[in-house]
Amino acid sequence: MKLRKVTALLLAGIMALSLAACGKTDGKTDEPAASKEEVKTEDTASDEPAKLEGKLVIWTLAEDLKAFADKFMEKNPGVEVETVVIAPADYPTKLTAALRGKAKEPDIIVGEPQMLPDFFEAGFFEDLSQEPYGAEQYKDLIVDYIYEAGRDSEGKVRALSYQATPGGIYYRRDIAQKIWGNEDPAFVSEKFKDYNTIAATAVEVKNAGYRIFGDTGNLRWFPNGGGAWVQDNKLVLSQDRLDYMDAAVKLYQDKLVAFSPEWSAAWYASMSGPIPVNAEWAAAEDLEGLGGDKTEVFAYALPSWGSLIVRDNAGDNAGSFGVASGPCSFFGGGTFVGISSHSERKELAWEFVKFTTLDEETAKWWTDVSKGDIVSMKSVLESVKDVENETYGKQKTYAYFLNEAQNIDYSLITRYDTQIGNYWGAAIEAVQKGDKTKEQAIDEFYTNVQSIYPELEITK
Amino acid sequence: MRIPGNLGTRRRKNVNNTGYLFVLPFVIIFLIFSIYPVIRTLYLSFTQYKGYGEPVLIGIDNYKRVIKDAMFWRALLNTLKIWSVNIVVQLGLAFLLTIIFSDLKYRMKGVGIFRALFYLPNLIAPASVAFLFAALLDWQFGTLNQILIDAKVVKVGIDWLGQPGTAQLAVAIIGAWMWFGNSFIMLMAGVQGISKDYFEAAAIDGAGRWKVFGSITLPLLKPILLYVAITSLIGGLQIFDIPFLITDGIGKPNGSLNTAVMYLYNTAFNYNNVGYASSIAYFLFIIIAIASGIEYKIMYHKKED
Repeated sequence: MKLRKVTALLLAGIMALSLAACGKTDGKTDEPAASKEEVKTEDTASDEPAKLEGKLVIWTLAEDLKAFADKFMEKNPGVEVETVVIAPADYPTKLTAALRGKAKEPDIIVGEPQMLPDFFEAGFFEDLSQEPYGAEQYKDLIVDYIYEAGRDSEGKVRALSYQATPGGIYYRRDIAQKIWGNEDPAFVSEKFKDYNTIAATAVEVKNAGYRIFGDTGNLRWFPNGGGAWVQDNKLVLSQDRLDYMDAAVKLYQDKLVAFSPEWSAAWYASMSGPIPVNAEWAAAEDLEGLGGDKTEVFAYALPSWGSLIVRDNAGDNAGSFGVASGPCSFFGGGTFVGISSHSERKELAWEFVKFTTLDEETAKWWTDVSKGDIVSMKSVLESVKDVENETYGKQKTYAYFLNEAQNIDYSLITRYDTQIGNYWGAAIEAVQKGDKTKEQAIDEFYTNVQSIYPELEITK
Repeated sequence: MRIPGNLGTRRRKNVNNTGYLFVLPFVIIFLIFSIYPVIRTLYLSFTQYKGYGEPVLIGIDNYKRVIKDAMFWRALLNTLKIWSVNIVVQLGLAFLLTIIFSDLKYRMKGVGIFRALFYLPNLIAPASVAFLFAALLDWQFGTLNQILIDAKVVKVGIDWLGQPGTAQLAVAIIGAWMWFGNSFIMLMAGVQGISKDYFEAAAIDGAGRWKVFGSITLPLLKPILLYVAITSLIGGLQIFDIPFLITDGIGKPNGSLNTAVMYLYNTAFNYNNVGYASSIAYFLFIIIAIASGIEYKIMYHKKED
């Protein structure tokens, strides 16, 4: 009898403890940083900055932040920063799970542009427009579209980025010279000025024995040539988008591309020399044995980080590349940094965000360390704009990217873009492969978008 | 003075209480991880909820939307197409093997080894199966196309996973390959449960193999068959992993591999509409319950007559 009572009490105790452990995260954690384990500052001489002390936990999807954290610790020996790198595909799920449970850590959280609207709406990112942060005062320091991308639907700043990722078309100057007798970026930009012109250029390039792109996926980097997908809550399928579809279908069906998809071994190999046509996802060691026609790829449409990929794989073609602009200015990716609204070390976290994204010295350091990453700080981009890039035929690529970054119209980006883009891509693929006519594919595209976003007005 | 009867009653009562204590851990886990999510999902199905923030009650709007949602019905049709091919191949193969292995005339040896071998595909993680078949069925470098080209059956490789019809067929066959061993074990167990007297009597009466199968094996296998059919229907309508892993996540090619559960998953986690996804889950549950009921009725139709 006694034993049973003891057992029952023990079980009840274990259960009570486990329930208490589950409920631990339900406690209020929204109190301002100042109230709890906050940053300690030691006042030194009045003109010297206060010494920072404390611990920060960063959850990031970019390895870059490890370098920033190391630099921050080097500058502030009293600070310990723990950086956890999470794969981009897992990041939203992990962050959502942690912050829905109001976890006190991480202190610093990040997001790529397409993730930000949902993160902002969920209230994960601290409002940096409010005091004591007052992030709006730094607006003019960084590239406009970066500032815009970090604001929520009410215009409050919630994240900032140390980098800008404007895009370009990296093309082979030697091939342009052979085909048109002109390799100038301005001339080549004209050859890519709109989707119809791209299709015509692709024919010229093929007739000369080359292929314009590795695959038709290159076009996807210019999705907003025809304005935003959603305007005034209406889905807009503009003429430019229809031209985009026609160009993608023509490039595919007339075999105007090399059929070496982005990130395939053949795609990397094409930057330094000829590759077999239709190599698709063949392994690098199989490329030689594939046989069939060989070709060289003329151009690669990619964000600024792509210029580094081309540089690192150009081999003997280094120096033969140039950068031209496409049908519209675009950007791709980029890591935006903010403070978790549940962090208890917000003051120190803000110091880190400022150090990473708003500090000129850091931006200069990152430009050197990353060997070519485009920072978001205008003054630093201005200071390097006359640097000549050896890989790109001594073109002033920083000047090019600064100009492109300033031309990006962030109002064209909507929270619906990723999913609508997926279904638009599926519609194009159905027409490319002959599974559907253009009309059928568009009709289904409307149906699909209406299914996933019934709140949008769709006029067929 | 103690009355023996009372003592007995008390003792029995105490034993029962101890029993409750033993099942308590399971009941608690069951309540937290099974019952609570079921009830919570039902509640969320009547709300607008993005997965964060507070759910807002909207009545039966989500259910009205499911009924009118073209993509859901298309996904369900895709699921049914894949399942119907899958079940025919899976059960057909399992039946064939059951007939062979249970036939007294053949006296097959090593049933246990074969049973284990047939069951093996079921032990491989779906992710591995998906990657394995994606490699086998690749239009350019896939083993299947290499064999067909070498045998001069085709000149150019077939894009198995790039065309809607063949992609659905491929997923159905993969499912059948994974699950026929499971069905085979069930059917064999059913056959072994039938008294040998029936088969011997039939043999003495001169009944042929098909007569024995149609008049003895099949009718007596009905309960097992019903179990296999219903579990297969439930599993089939919930198909998710292979199509999800073998495609781009939205049912490539041309939406043909977008199954009902894949649509549910995307609605909840990619389109951020947990409320609507919950109503799809319940809608699917109702459809599966009705389909299982119909299946039960069909199989026991004659008996009731």
